[in-house]
Amino acid sequence: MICASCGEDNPDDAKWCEACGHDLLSVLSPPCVACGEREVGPDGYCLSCGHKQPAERDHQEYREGTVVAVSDRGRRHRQNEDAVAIATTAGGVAVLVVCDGVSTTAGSARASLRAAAAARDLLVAGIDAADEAGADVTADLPELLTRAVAAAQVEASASVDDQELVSTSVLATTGPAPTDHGGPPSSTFVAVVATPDDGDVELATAWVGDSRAYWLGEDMRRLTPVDHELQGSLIRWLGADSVDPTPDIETVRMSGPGRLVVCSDGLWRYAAEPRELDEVVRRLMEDGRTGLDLASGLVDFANDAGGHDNITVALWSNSPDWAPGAGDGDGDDEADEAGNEAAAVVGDEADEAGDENEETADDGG
Amino acid sequence: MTSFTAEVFQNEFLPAGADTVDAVVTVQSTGDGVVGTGRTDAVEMIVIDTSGSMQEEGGRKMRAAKAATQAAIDTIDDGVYFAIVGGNAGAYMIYPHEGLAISSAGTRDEAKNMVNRVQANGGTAIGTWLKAAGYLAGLRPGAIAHCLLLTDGKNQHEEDWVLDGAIASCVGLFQCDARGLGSDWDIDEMRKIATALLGTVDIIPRPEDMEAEFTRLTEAAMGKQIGSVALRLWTPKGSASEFVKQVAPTLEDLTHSAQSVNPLTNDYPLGSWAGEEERDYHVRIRIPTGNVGDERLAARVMLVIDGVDQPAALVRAIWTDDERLSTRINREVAHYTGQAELAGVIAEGLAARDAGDQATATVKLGRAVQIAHQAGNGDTVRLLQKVVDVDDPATGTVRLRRQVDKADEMALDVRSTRTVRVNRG
Repeated sequence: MICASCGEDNPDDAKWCEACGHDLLSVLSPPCVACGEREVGPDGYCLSCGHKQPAERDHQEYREGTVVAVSDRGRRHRQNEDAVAIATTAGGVAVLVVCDGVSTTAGSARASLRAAAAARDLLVAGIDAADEAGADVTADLPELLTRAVAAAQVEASASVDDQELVSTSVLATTGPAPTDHGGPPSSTFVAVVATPDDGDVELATAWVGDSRAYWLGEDMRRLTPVDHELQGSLIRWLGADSVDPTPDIETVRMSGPGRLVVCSDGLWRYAAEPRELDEVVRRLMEDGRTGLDLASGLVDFANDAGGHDNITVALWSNSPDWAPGAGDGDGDDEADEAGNEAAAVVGDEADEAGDENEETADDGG
Repeated sequence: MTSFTAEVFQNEFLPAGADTVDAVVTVQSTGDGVVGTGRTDAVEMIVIDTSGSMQEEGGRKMRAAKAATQAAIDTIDDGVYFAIVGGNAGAYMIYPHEGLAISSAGTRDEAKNMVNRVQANGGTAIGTWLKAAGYLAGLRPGAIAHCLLLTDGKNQHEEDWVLDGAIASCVGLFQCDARGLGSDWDIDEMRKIATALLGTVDIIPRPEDMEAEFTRLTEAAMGKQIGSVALRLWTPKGSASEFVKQVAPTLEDLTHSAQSVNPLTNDYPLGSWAGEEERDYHVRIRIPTGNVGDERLAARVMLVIDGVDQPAALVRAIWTDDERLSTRINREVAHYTGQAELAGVIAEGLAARDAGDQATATVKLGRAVQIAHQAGNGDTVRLLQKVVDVDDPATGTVRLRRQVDKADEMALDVRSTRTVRVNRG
């Protein structure tokens, strides 16, 4: 048996690589998330208990520098069409992008992923360039955000050609296909660039649709004061059939420490007012949660409230007690177990905050 | 080449706490009826009742049986191994003298000549007839063997256990289509044979109907060139298959024919298949309940074609608190649940009628008319109308008929398990 990690040729009955210690069985079949048997069929279901193994995007957790994010399928939807892309630039600026793929159109999971990644990449490149030129980043942000949304719109529209839709199994089954109302893939969009400045923070926000951002602190507010929806239906979105992909853009300076929450409606529908959301956050913080632990707590809160939609939350804070890495390797959390390797947080070194880190949901394609 | 596919029809969404999954599996064969490298040997056996009762009515039944057998012989393909067996209180070879003949124009003519010389006399010992067929089929192991069994009477000259033992000894050796001529035979006996030996059972009311039926059955047997097909069901740990039924073209409970492959996997033999066939199966599986949001497999459906297994379809269970999803009725499952109820109420209605319980018989047969009317079982409605006068088929309002022809009642009974397929239009 050839080790997938180092290439060593091991005896056929070996469980561990003799050269590097890699778990050889894990390559063949990871253990079932429900019963732990090392028998998962090629159709994605456990060969012992039949439990469907989570798709890569069912639950994902990220940490990039000072920013953390968790995206979860929720309880009702059959797949996760939300996407999140986060980064901390070399200059310590936080970039948080959340896109909510519209579940009534097939392929929206791809659209949201491509849109979020494109916007994040453009924002990071623009901020880094301004930093290098010694320019004031914050002044350029509205224009940079406009370009980021345009890039996201291009990607969301292009994803109409993706035939690589997420299939739930390798075998043909019947039953309702993902509800497809015939339209091309589409997605909402929200991006926040947070620039810490001497204890205060400059927040620049762009959004299209009903995904939201909140600042929760001494002073709290919705950074996206309106949702682009009318009577429960989106009136602005990104995608090939969008009639109005124009973002609203706002900038604001908030003083003192606080927490930035960027989320899809899968979270805010259960705590829509800043004060309500702040109450949930504070309760979790009183339990000692911070960083990834706090983000997971918010996802659990939404799931406990019903989990009617995909839930995605990205968090950042300028508070001195903010510990982004909290929750790493927390194996006793059910949600953590349901996650897979691709969702694992990368980089544990303490000095990485200074590095430029980027991570987005690996699209597996 | 012939390929097999299976398709699953179900509502995979279950409410919280539910542990029962229903699915209809449609198995379809397409192609020329050949699997693998080439044609398998075939054995065709015709076992005809030559007891004394066949000589009644001035020998009319025996003459018709001879003509029907000769017509059936004419439809046996060249190269097929065949034999004609006579049955009375024992079993004897009509043709060939012993063993099996290989079909050709010459052997078929010899066989037809020997059929002409048959004399009817003696008793009825169907178990012994089956054992003779089992012996003959055993001469060509691995061949696709089919037997057409005709009787006009009850199994009077042997104990029930002899018949039961004979049936058991023939399982897997050949498939048997059992036919009863007239109305003096026993439906339960013949149904027992057909069910165990994966064939069909029916009444031939009049001697003159025999030739067409024999020809049709032998032609159909010649078309079944895929010897062994099995439905393989994997179900998860802690689960149980509550039932596995064929539901189209006829109702056959396969639950107890399960052959264990491993602790989680069972095979249900489906007998031989032609190149273009479609049959429906209803499976009900109990699995450990899951949490809302969980998705689990209730069954992996595989098909085993001449010993080679292929994955076919998945039966899933997804627990949800969304009632719009969990309360959906799957059309296929509902249709075949209705067809099973139809067969049940006909059997109960006829039993009540026999026992003199007119009230129960009227209710049950009324319900049967109602289901058959709604589901489009036109043939069943016509059979029911010979037993009851129908006032309103929509509400199942009926009156029992006073004068009922015994053969009509038997036809209703024996054909109650014939189903109509779900309308997928």
